[in-house]
Amino acid sequence: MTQREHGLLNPNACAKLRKPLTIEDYVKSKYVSDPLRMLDSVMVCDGANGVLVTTKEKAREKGLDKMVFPTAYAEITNYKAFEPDAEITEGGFSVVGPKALSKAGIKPADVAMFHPYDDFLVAILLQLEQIGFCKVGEGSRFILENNFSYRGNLPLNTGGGQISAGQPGLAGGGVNLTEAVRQMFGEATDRQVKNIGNAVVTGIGTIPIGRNWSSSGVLVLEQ
Amino acid sequence: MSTVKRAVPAANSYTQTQPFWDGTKERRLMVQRCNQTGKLQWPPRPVSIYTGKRDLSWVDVSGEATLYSWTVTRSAWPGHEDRLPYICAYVRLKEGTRLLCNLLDYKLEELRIGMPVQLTWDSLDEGVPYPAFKPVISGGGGA
Repeated sequence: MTQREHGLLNPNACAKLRKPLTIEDYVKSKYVSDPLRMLDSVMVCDGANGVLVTTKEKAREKGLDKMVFPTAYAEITNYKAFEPDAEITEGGFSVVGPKALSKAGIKPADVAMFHPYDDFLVAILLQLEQIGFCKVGEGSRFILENNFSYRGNLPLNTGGGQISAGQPGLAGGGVNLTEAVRQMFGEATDRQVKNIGNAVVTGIGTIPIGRNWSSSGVLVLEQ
Repeated sequence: MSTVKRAVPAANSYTQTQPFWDGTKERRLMVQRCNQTGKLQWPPRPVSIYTGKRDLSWVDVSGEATLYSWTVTRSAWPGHEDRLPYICAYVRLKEGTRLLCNLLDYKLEELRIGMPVQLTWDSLDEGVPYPAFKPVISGGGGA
């Protein structure tokens, strides 16, 4: 619901998704495979995005004075891929989430904005648990107890995320990255977050057998 | 009569699977076994996921398993509308490893994570048998 509201404030979001959504709409939406509904699933669309990655010096030479700094990145692929008895909900974020945050010297409570890869809403819940915002099994409660609005205590996917802006194919991973950078540049206009000291952006890729995803990446951006 | 097409996949297209398909003709579920560790693996691969070596064989499993989890598909894969609702499940074979399959002969409200299930046979086109699983009906008394 919160992400859909963000999408309404994002001129770059897909027109098809820029419609208000109520809890009733969500609950009535059709099931694809129990317990996942159509509205739990991302809509693929056309689109593209990009960021310029360069040194401070080169940026200044080009007259660019807005920049953010990646201070930590961790990625893992095929986490427990060869353990047929691993829990299906176990994922690589339980390794790279804490690793990236620790590299950047921040704890989950210090995270100003969270921009998790959201091809399916359940992925957000699993990431919140695995990265350490809450304990495993407490994801639902954490979501209910926190305010993910751009005005809330943990702004999340403030442009609507892929769920409410669209997933432009393989450029899907860039949707939340560019939103995080835009926020940190102070250019998010109607949905501008106040505390933009840092952002955690994540990526998910590949679908393996017997698990939810195979590649997990966590990036920490700081001012 | 169902209009659902369930094409028989070609054997050996990316790795050796002929022993699996030969087994289905005799209603035997054949699974790869790593000879060095004795562990089973599914799906079939060119090498053992435990050792990385090609030292693999195929074994006949008992068909006993437990239900790890399942989902009820309500929006059909295109062309499979006549099968709705159908269940995709993960079962854990008694001998080890997990297998993705359909469940047959079940009552939805009686499904439980961990319940015993057993091998049964579904069919693809051309009458080709394909393994599925169904809940074990216990003789009497409950869990």
